[in-house]
Amino acid sequence: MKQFFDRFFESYQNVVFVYCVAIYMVYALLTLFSYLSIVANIRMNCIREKLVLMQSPLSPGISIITAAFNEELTITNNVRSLLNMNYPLFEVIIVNDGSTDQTMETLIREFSLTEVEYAYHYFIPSAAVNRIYKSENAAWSGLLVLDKVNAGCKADAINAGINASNHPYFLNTDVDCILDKDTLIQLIQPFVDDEKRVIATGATLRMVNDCVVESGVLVEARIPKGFLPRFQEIEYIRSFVLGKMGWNLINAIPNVSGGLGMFDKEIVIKSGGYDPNSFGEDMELMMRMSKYMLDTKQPYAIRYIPQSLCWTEGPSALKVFKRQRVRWSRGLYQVFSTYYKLLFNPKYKKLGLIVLPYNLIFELCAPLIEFLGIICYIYLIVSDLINWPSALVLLLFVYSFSILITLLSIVWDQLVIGRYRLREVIRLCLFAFLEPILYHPLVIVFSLTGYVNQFFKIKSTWGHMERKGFMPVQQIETVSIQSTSG
Amino acid sequence: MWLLNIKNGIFLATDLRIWDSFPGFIKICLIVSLLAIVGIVLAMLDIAIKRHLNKKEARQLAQLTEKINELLIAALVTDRGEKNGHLIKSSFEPSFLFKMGVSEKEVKKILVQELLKFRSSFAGSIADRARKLYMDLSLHTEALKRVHKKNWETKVNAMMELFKMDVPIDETYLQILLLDKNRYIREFARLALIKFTTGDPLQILREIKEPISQLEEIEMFLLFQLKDDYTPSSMDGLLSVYTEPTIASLCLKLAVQFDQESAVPYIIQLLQTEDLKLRGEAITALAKIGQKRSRKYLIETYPEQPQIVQLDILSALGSIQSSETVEFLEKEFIGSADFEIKKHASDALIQLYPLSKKIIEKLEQNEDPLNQIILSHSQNPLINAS
Repeated sequence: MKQFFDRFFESYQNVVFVYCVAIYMVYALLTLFSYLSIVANIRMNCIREKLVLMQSPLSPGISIITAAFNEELTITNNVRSLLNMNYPLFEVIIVNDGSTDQTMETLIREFSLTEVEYAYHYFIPSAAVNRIYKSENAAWSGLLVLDKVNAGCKADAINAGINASNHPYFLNTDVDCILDKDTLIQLIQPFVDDEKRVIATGATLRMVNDCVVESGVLVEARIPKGFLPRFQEIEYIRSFVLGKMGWNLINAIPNVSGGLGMFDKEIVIKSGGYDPNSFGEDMELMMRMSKYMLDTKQPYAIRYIPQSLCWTEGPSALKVFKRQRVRWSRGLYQVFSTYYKLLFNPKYKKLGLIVLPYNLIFELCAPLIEFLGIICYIYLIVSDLINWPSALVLLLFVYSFSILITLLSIVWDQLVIGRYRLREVIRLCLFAFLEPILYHPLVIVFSLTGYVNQFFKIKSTWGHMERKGFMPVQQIETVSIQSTSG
Repeated sequence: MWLLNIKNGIFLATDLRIWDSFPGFIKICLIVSLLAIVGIVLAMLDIAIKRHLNKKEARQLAQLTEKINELLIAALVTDRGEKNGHLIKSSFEPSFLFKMGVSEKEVKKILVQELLKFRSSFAGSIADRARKLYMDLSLHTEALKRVHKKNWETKVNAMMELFKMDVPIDETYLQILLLDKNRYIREFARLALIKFTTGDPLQILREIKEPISQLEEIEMFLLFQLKDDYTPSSMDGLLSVYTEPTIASLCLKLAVQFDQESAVPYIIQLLQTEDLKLRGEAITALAKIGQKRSRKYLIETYPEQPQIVQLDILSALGSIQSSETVEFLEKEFIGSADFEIKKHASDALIQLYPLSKKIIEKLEQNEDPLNQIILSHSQNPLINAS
């Protein structure tokens, strides 16, 4: 038996090495692609006049759709900020997803809502919509509120919003997300400018945890102070600026984030809308939309822009973080169990030959291979089979390369964002050194937990994100007064 | 042994025996790791140095922009007198700006940028004076030179600058640019031609054989809208099934904008197109321009059309005041089982109020709850205000 394990783990070392080299080659390529993509975007922004879209009666209409569940404390400011977007033609649809607190009452009171008889049609399935409200105040004529039965997931609420929307494009975001005022004008740009039919666009998301927010508007961007949110900030920068922008260059984006994404409503409806049974409904929808476009032989594109347009609260408690990551990994597992037939299928072009294989090998399998790698390492140490010099060189190789990739993503990010102070950026860079040791193992464990839960069909719910809320300007001022007087 | 060497501060590679004892892949890993470490250091230095330099540069540019703005306000807004038509230039002396530690090229760039802001933020005499100053300072000659540069970005930016400053670009050269490989050069050449041509701008649309983006369509539409005393000539050859669909779509919008009744026969021809989106747009345009002439045709063709076009016909009928239209819409509202058809018919009926008053009252008595909700929806000003 020992002989078998010795042989297995010795050969497994080679597997891990080949895997590492392959993944780093892909990352190196993505780094180059993302740089080219970001530079192209910066050039494009110099020649494209945003004012044209603001002035034209031909600018396409957009529906902002967002689900609210027990958000009574923040809902008023957040809805006000959504209603103040810079764009000539848009509506805001809030889907109250069966809140058990005063969310609905707050909305009715603050926005002078009145119930209307609305011809609501279930183009895509969703739980029952009980009541629909419009504001009696002309200033909020663009606001539509749906009060629906809770189905336990955001996907169902967004489907209800899509059914009620009146414009050809919709923006899906979370009600607690802080959006840049130019979000609509930035995200619609690829839809009206690309040579192919764009079916979805997205932009970079960031952590809002320690930012200064006043009345739903971001006043000052700051790097999160907490360990967990700060690691997530690093991860988001790498994922959006390097990953998504890299794939953007070759039109092979696998997923548009559920936190911020704009979609072509017609294609979403024809593809059947969000799947309420999916744990990774955003990726699942992109797979279905892409499949629909390829099945119907329509050329299409999914685009990302590097600008940070959405600020979201990242979990700062380990329990909530675990729940989120377990859900995400279950979602990834589900996508592959649903769309495995597309894998390596030339009929599905880049989707079948690049997007899905990459996600299978370097996303789905990564936690498994890494976990087994750690076991292998421990076994070899215990059995005294390890070649220390080689092992340390390999460790240095993996560690230094992963830090380089993260730092390069921060450098690329600096090309488009100048909101953070230099001191904060340096602090972020230093955290990149700790990420592989402290944060990454957690992600592996939670991902594996998700796979196990999904494999054994263990029931789980979405759970409610426990929010700490934002630091308002007043509080910042008080703090600074106290510190000066002290 | 190897660890000892490191502890003693002896670099690994110096001990060739250890280096030689490593297998090839470990050597590669070691080299890559060292390169990665150098990369890490460089990346961190890049962040620190660039941020520092950018901050310094931003401060300098902010001071310069402020100074330029002060001068521009004095020359364009406060000082309105003109002597021999050249006072603007003499009151605006930019030479000392070149001594502010910023390159001459950068000063000119910011000056143009600020002048363009004046052009877009003000109308009338201030905008005219901004253009005059731009010309007096001969900034346009530099832009006209840049239009001929090889780099596409420089070319496009120069075209954009001249375009916004209303400085014509040589038409023959623009015609050559229409054949350029770069899509953005072709696009800006088309826009410049439409803006500056002395002939019929619709002729430029006739020559476009490739699809234009929605953004270009929006920009072109805006250009036609802003042309002084412009009346489009015949739409002959622009509204046909053989025209590039995106161009035909733009022309339909122009025909509606300029109320081109003479375009109706061509629009009717366009209804034969297989492009359903374009067919729908043609129907909308027809109803807006052709009015009663098109009613009969739309009602007759309705049963043969796919649902998506039928919806466009129903919406279009909402702008044609006639009792036959009301009857047709009522029939569709009651008879159809399709939710969207019912909703569009109901919206159109409400639009035809007061002509449809009696029918609406009759329909309100209808016991079908879906019909009642749809009618109520269409009539609610709170819903339709947005």
